[in-house]
Amino acid sequence: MWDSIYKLTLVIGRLIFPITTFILIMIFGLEIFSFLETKATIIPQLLWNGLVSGALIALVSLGLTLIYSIAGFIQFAHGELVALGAYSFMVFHKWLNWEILPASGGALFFVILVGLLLEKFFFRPVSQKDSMIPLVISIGLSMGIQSIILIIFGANILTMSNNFSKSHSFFNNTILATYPQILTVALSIFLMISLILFLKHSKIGKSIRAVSSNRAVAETFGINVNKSLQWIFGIGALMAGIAGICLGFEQNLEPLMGVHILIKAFAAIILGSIGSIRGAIFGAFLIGVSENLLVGLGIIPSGFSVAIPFIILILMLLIKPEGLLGKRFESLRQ
Amino acid sequence: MFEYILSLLTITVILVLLAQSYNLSFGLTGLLNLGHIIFYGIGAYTAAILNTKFGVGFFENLILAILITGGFATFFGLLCLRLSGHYLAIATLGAAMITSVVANNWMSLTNGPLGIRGIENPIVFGYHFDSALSIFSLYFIIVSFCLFLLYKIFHSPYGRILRAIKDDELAAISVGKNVFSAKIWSLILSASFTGIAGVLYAHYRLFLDPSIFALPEIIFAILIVVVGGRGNFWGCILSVLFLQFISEIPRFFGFPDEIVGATRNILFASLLIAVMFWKPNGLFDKQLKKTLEKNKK
Repeated sequence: MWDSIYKLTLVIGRLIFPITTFILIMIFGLEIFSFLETKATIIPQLLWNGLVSGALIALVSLGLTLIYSIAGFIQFAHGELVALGAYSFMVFHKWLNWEILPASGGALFFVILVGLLLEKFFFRPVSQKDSMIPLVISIGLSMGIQSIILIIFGANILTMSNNFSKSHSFFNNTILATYPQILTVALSIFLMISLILFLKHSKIGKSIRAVSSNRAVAETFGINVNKSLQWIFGIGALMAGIAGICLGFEQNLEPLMGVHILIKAFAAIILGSIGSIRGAIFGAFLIGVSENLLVGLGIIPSGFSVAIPFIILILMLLIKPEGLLGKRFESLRQ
Repeated sequence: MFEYILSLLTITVILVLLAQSYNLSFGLTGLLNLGHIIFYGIGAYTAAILNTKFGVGFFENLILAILITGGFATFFGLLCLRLSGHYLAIATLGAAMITSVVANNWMSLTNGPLGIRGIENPIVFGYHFDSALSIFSLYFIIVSFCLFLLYKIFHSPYGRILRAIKDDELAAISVGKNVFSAKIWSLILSASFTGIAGVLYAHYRLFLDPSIFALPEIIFAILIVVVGGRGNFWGCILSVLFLQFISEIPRFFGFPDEIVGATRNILFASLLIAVMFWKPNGLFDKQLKKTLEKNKK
């Protein structure tokens, strides 16, 4: 019985949703257009905000998706690396009064160190076992690091705003942007391109791709799997650290900040099919932009903004369960 | 002191039911379902809303909560069980986030973060269960009955199908088992039992707010099942007792109030990691072997 119901939901998902969207657009298309016209003045600003948050989510989700494709599990503690990046930058910059560049260098060094230590002591010993074990370990690590941050810095909200993060207007006052935001978008795009080039052309990148497509075969050809694991965790931690520093200028510092962006990154990597780099980037920008547009235009109340990535995710699961850019994944049922 | 111990015991009894039902889907079937807490929350909210708004009694609430959580689990399963492994983990975590957001923002139904007050103590056949001892005994009886049913499920042929799915899904398919149906029934059954636990919680605490859906609660549920051993019936019960004991430790050592929660979380996190490292089959693995040998004799 359940089989037929399951097939029915698949068919319904694949057919009904596109058809209803089409009909809705046919009927309400004019009204939607006029609604957008009344809001036209704020749309560029919303798009810019979406771009910034998309860039931040992309930085986090790239690390996640790389770790998934090599090590085969989802790293829940990755969000804590973001939080650690933000907090350590704040310690160097505000408490020790370092300049921005050395402070961010120190923060990135610290985050990469933590990422590598996590890999060496927690994930490598269990890398050959059932993939559920590293997943649960990373959940535990995430909770532990959060509580440590809570004990050291307290639950009070800290801010990092200074002269550098004042907003300036661009394009005839249509867009308000801060220098950290511009830097975030530029850095994120630069890192994406260099990551793709690195994986495609460098020797280590090639070995990483080999391990991700088949670990055992790569090992028999003499590729050092542990070394590529280290590289992946290092790169992931670097990107998470950069995301953390940028996020610190965007919002307040709180112990749960890592979890909040991690959850969006989860939705992003599944949206663009897990393990695919382009998919992760695409999903991240889709989520960032659509969240800001939906909330900013007043379509969805701001209290529901946390749920938006997952509403998109569940709609996508109904329509195309294998991810927007993915091939049909080898489910046993198909 | 007696009252305090009784209240601790009552919460433990509710947690045992929650953990054991989670053990059915997460432990026995091996579904990486991180959103199980939503069924607990939905059961509790069902009881709270029906009781405060419509004056529905305790037993009717139990039945309605079973139906509602079961129906919700059917929907949830059809949507999420087409995924497997880590995809499933993220999708279910997302479902938990959505429910939490809905509970926080749907003011007219759930009263948002302010929570629902004024839930009544259970009234069964005209008898008011308002003393701590009577509530504990009522809950003990209900939970023991549910545990009996769960024990039967765990050791039935159906339970063995679920165990086979966890060990090797392909093998289970190849011997002709309907894996999808078995999985979805395991989710529905475990959700219904969790719904009962939720009703018990609501009628005991008499106050309900959306923090029931919070992330630490999810991690605590995972911790119970992992410490007890996935799919280990007796281990799960022992692990609830053990963890309740541990979670009271920071309070006795006189930590300041604001870091008691954080210390407990660190304790739990290190326990979770240590168990996964050295005893991935749970702390009470030997217990399982002994009971199996007894059954053979």
